[in-house]
Amino acid sequence: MVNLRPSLATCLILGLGILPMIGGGAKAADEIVIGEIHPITGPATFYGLPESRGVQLAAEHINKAGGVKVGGKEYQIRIATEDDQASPTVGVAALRKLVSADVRFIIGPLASGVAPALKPIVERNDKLTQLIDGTIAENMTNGKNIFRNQATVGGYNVAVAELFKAKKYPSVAMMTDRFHAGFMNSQKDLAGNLKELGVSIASEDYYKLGDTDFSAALTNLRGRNAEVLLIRGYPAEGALITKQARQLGFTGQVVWEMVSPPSTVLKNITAAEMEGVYNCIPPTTEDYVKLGDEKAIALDKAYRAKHNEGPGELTALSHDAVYIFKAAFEKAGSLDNAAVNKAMAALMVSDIPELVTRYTPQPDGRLFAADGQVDLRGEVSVWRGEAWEPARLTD
Amino acid sequence: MMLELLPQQLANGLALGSTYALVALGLTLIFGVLLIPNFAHGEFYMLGAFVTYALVATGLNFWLAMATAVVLVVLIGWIVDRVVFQPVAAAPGHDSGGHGSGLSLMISALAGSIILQQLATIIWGTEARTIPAPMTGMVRTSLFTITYLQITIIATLAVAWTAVWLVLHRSRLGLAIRATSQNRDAALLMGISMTRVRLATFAIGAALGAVAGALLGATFPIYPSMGVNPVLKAFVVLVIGGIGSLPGAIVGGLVLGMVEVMVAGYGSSQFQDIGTFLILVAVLLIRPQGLFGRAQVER
Amino acid sequence: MLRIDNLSAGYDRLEVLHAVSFSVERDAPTVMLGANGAGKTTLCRVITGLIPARGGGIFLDGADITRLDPSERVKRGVALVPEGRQVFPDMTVRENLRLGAYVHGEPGRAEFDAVFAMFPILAERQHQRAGLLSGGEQQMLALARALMSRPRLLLLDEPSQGLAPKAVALVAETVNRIAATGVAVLLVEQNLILAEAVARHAVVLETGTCVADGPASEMLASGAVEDSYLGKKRRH
Ligand SMILES: Nc1ncnc2c1ncn2[C@@H]1O[C@H](COP(=O)(O)OP(=O)(O)OP(=O)(O)O)[C@@H](O)[C@H]1O
Ligand SMILES: [Mg+2]
Repeated sequence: MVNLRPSLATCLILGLGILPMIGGGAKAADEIVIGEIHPITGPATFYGLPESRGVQLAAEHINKAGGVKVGGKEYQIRIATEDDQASPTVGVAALRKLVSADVRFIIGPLASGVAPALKPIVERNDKLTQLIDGTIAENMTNGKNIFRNQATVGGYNVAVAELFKAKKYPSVAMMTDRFHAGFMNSQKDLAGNLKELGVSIASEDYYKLGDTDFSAALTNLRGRNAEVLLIRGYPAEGALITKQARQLGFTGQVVWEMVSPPSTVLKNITAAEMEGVYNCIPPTTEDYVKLGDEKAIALDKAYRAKHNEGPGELTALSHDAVYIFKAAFEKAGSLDNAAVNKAMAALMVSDIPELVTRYTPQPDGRLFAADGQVDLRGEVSVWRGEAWEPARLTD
Repeated sequence: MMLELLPQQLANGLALGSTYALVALGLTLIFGVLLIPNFAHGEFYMLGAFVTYALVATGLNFWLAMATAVVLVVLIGWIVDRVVFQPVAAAPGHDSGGHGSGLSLMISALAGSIILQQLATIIWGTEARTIPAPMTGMVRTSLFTITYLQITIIATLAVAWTAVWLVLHRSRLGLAIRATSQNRDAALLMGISMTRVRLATFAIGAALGAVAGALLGATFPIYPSMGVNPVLKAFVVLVIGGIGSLPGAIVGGLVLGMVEVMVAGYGSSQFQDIGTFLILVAVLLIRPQGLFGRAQVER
Repeated sequence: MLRIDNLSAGYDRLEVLHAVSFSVERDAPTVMLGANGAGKTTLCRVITGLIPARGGGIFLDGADITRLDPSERVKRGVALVPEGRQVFPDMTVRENLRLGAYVHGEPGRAEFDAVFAMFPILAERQHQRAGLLSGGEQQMLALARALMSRPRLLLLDEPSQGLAPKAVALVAETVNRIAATGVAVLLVEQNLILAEAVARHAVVLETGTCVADGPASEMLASGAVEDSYLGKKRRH
């Protein structure tokens, strides 16, 4: 008897608390929630934050233009943002959080370390569809419920081969970040491709993130007569290796193979020391702007208006990812994951006119290959003045 | 086997080794005098780099910026000692000497180091950057090339060592510091004030860390966790050279730099770290007290 | 001169001294006797401030010095020749002596000459590392170093340890000379020859408690002291 009153009160409070939640849930029925997992803080912020913002921008744009039409009904897109700090453990926790909130569509992650950690979880969950807008390591997709609209290292290497063919460089010394799975796994293929072009491989050296002294390996370049120094990794080390190579008297061509925002590059090396360095990666948002691409210019403008600074290298990819999802929803005519997966696999490049990134269609016109990977090829850009610009290889 | 490159590799080793020695100098002083394994030395180094960077970014001359950074980092060093190490030494459960036990000091040092890193992350973010070099250009001879900045680092090492030597051997404060490092209780019995010795030791140690950070930050990228590796290397240098020995820090640093460059240059760059490990094991086997260390005698 | 009043101290959870009380007068050099582990060294460390007192007080000429820093006590004239000598091994003999005078600034020639007159061997060895001296020479150095601080109260913790009889005699003679200049002396000693040669007053410490106190001549003769001080005898 004595205990009754408090428990009654508890029931009342609980009931009052739950009611509004149910109401809120009902209202959310016309929403599609897309989760995005990117490194918003931590060491990869300079890639991740502009990606997260690109996702937001695209969603806002779609919502303003009437949202997504699925089975005759209009949905608004809501983005649920999670920060993975480029760490596998944080990334897994972020994914679990989204799954428990019943989020069934995921964009991301960026980091090569995080993607393999998420893969087994996503693969085993048929209520998840993932579109990776980062990591260039091979074998991250399955074509069933994991897709990727970023290039693979193979795509980067296309540009390297193109550069060597056009310039007829006789020899190359490679320096590769030995903890970058993508670059390491493709090292052998790239070396093979270059050998086929008649390039002699003067040396293959490896370093790791955070290394600061490369003088021993770079000194040896002089003895090996390498015409080109090819650096594969991240920009802080790229800048350092470039600087030290020049100081040690290397006069040949320096070629980078890495996504490297000019702002980041210039924090570590002067513009003068960068002049003439080539980079072999798929075009960045900025490259498309420089090529006069209207969609890219519009994205750039919207981004600047909202954030007071230019977009990141990968903003276009993340922006495109939202449009790819939209096209898949509409093509599927359903929000059921199985249907969306199937529609995604069947998407044609021509189905999504809003894409900023210029993908090479598969032979049958589709966006994704059977393994869920797009065909995005590297192009050669060159450092001029304060930034990269598309290189003309013919002269 | 590429012997014509040997002079250059020697120059590389000297340049690299002097960066190790510069970081190890402050670490060995604090360890030698106060028996504190100061992992936060890496953060003195990091803060020296970042403060210099921030001031240079406002247009201040590099050397003035470095001097200001030294002063600031000394203050931070005192705060770290007061907040992180002294409470451990004062806590009950330690021997009569008033030292903290090695383990609890090590754990507080790591905690202090992490807190300072977080602080720097909040202020500057995690993106790597480099302090604009105070000088560019290099000396090119037919045998080797060396940048002015590398020469400056080697010269700074020589000056820093001379300055510390003069303080320790030509001043009363130095006498007190040396006495404390040899026998803390006896030093107390002489009426030496531990507070002054601590302040002075942390000031010199932190200042050395800050100078190293400012100069190496103009060579290498700086970021909040940049101090972790150099401090681990510096501990290796200490073991090689002899813990608490200043000449040991210098010779140990140079030896480590040379060995690493030779292993990378004539072996493979992948083995650079293995070189570090090998020399560590060799020293521990042949001369466990380090090149300049004195074998510990029971007193 | 020195009054110890109900003093307790220890390490960690171990209390070593339990309410110890006694006095040392300027004109009565005092010897403290006690078995190994009785707490004699601990007492010296509390008096000099190396470890804190847990209760009771230490008074120097009536002034309470219980909570003062070691350096403050040195300035007021407390000096200790510690057990095991504790010279600075990597410094020269001269530097050791300079450190002895640390609280008074740099010692002048006269001060050096005074201790060199007392210990000629130190003058010979003044530029040698103290760690290279023989045990007896190090004991001389420890004593000389303590004198450099111009003590008013000189504590000696087993200065005869490891010394040949001839060296013990030299220590006795030196201590007597110092006592004659008006310096109060507390000698912790197990060597009865040295104790008898120096002390006019004796205190016996047994497991951290003062068990006897009286004129040295009587105490050293009495069986009670023998029992207590040669505690090991009873254990046999
Ligand atoms: N640093 C210390 N930490 C903990 N216990 C200690 C310490 N030093 C001494 N003790 C303990 O305190 C007790 C008294 O030791 P102390 O050195 O004062 O004895 P002592 O009378 O000087 O003996 P001895 O004649 O052997 O020199 C002993 O039981 C000893 O084990
Ligand atoms: Mg004793």
